Amino acid sequence: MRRLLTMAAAALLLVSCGRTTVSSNTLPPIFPDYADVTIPAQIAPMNFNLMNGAKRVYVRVRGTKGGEMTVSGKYARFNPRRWHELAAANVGGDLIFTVLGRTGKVWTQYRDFKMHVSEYPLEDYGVTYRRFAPGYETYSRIGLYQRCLGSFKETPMVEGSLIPGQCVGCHTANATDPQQFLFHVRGKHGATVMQLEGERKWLATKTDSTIGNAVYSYWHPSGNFAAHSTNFIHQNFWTAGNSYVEVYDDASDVFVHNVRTDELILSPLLMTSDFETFPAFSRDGKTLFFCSAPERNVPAEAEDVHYSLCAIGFDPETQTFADHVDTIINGPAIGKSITFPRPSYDGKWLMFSLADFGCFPNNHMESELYLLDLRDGSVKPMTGANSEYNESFHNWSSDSHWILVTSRRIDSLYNCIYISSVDEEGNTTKSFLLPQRNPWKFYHNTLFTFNVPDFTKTRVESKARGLFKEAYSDKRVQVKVKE
Amino acid sequence: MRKDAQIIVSSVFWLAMALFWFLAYPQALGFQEQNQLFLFTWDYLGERLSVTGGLADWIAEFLTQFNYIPWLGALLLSGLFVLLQMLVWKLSDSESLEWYPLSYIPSLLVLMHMGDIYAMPAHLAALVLTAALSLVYMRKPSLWLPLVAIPLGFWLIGPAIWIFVLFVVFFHRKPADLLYPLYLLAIIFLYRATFMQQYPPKSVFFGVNYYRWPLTVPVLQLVVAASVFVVPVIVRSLPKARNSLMVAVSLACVIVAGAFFGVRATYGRDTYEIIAYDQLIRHEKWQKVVDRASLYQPKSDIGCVSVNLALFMTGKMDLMDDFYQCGTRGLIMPRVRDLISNVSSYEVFWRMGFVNSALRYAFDSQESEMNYRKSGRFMSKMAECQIVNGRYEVARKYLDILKHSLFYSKWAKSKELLLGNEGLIAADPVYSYLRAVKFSDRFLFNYGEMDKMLYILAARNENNIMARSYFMAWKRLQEAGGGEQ
Repeated sequence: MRRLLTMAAAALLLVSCGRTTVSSNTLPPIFPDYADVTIPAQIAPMNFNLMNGAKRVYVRVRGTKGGEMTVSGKYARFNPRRWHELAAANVGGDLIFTVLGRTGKVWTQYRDFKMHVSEYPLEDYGVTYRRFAPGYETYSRIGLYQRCLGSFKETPMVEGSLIPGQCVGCHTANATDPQQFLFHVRGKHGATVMQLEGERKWLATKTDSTIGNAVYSYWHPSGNFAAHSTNFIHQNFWTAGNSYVEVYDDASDVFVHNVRTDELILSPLLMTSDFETFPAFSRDGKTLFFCSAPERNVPAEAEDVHYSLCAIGFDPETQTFADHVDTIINGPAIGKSITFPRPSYDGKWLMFSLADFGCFPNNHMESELYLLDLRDGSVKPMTGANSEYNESFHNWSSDSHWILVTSRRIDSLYNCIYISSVDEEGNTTKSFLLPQRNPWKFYHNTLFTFNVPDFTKTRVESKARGLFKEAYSDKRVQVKVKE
Repeated sequence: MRKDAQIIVSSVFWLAMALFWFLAYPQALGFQEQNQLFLFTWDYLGERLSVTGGLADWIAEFLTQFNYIPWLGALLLSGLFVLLQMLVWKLSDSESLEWYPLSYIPSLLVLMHMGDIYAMPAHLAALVLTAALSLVYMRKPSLWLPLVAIPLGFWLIGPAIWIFVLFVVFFHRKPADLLYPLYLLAIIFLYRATFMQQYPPKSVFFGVNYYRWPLTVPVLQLVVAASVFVVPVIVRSLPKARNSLMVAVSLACVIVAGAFFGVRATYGRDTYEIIAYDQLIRHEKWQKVVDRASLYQPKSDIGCVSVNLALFMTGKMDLMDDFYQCGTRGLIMPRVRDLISNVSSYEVFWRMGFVNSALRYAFDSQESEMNYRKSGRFMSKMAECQIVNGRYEVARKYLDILKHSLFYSKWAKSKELLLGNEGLIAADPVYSYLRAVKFSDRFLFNYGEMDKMLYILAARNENNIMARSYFMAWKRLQEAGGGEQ
């Protein structure tokens, strides 16, 4: 009955205006490009805009396993409750979208497109990310935010306004669990802020035996350790070409931090003159992956810096490293640079960025995502998630069937978050842009880039209260090197 | 005092203030205007209203955008000064002619405070709003007004609402009114614990938008605010003088003299000279920069960059030695995080063909806004750089934002036509020239090797006279021992 009424309403809408309808064999020019994407049933309504100047859009969505809904307006904006009902009813099936757009007095009906509703649920609460204006050395508004995946609700965790003049740096949760969460604050009142089971501590991570503070971090699955790299990061600026900024390190090391005793566990194998960076623990916690590049005279030889994917054994019981490093993929040998290793939480895969050179694929348009099968060592590109623009800052959902990645593919400068599904064989589906209430208005008007995103299993309980005082008090827990 | 006389004196004050801004410190108007980008969108209003003092800020920004036309901006800004003066006099509730000049004290203190380039017009707007609210209460006291106006006022006007609370407490002097300050304190704590969690307590208590630098509260800002309350209180308590005309004239003389010396003390000559150069460069009035520098030139890197650019643009670079020089930094400055240092250098970069560097300096200038404002001027330049670089989608983003402004909209619409239209860009003398002279070789910018970069740029296109002139000047200054170390 509802279906009949809907169709009657649609017919009335079209006929009553006394306007003509023409058919087009092309896909509707929608933003974002949601045609043929695979979505989780839990995702927020996949609203979209018709980008050909249509004054009004009419959309009917049918589920191949039943149910349908229609919307009309300036853009396709779905009722959240009905959207979730329809998506939930079509898990494993498709949602077929019929789109009509009115330009002048003519309605154009486009070729239908579909979205596949994945059988893999995405039950994480949301995503966390850093937001700031992309570009050069100066930042004004910067902050860490969390966004619910099932709705459009975004809430700040820490904004730069709370600790003026300080940079709020990369944040890391333990395999998406925010019960163990850390982020770095840079500036005069810098520190590594660690939240462990609701308690917050401010750490000074530089010691006499390490070259600097913690920069890129990764939790040990046990929650008792965090691996950090310490990097002398520099930025420089291209005079021409597609990329404006080059980020490079002229020194970097890796170490592990016992978060219970605040002791650093060092290994000379991870503190060589080579550039060691981007540590990440395997799921069993017995291997520490990292990237390493032979020392180069940067920035003069910036284009000759190629990172390899390496691994070293780690024994959490004795808190010691193995006596050798394995090179899993040799970057210099293939003339590429491998960065940001991210092992899946089910232990099957390791996802990484592959770029022509350097340690910061975020600024490299050629950067692509690749997947290493940790069971047989095979490597393949994540074709569905890749584009002609950069792909970087990727991460896994808690069940390892969804990934998120940032890419500048909308306008070549502003990174946005895309989500893809990964199946048992490591096949990646076409990625979709994180939905927004009015996507074009949101993404086109924003002057923020979305950076270092991660899934979060539950909502991050970040208490802003007291943060300012803690930051400006400069009271820090000084980490020590384990004897 | 007779009403028509008051109107005449206030009108003279308005005119004097407008002339002050328009003739003496037009650069201050331009500086305020270029460090904001007022947009006619609900989202913009919503963003302003998302923090305390948002309405005062929004009104001030709305008025400040008219500084784009200096005489209009001067008139509107001066109007706020006059409004404040008139409200203070009304709050004084005095019929005595002799004390009338005292009502100008708060406005003149604001004038002095605004000599600080980081002082925001939002503070003045907040004072006017809270004074107006106080007057409404004085005229029609009621119980409900403070109950509603205090929470709403704190949200929309900001901490300046304390002035209203003080008026409520002191003018009726009922013991129960002493609860109002406690009420406001409770409101402030409530806001701090809810909507304003992401701001430090000091910002919430002293205002988020009254001063560009967070966590900084200049003493003069507090003095100005206090004067809006103190002056009416004093005037009310003063007895009628015997020779009222003489007292009035004497007071007026003292106040005018105080304002004169106060303004001299607070409007730093070097700072405003540099801003004046910048505004003249913005409008390509090169000869005026040279003329100003001939009379007085601040001994600073940025002033030197501006003067040297103006000398090149007027074909007088051979006269460089007649002006203050500070080595190669006086040709192009290394990047500095503040609101003015990068600006003249990006103008040099832009004209010479360092398009990516112009973009970088413009971007960093915009992001140097500690209060998160954007800039019509810098965003326009960023859009132009992206057009020259052929990155049209980013340019479109900036242009579409600018289209929501009053004074950049027309420009943005005209530039929108160029996006993706190579023929139109080729026909544009500036963009086609820059495409012809800009770097084609991709290498990393290195300020320490600026001479080499200038050489490469000059060698790339023999028509790039500017690169050649700057290269030669750079080498000469380097050899003279004034190079960047």
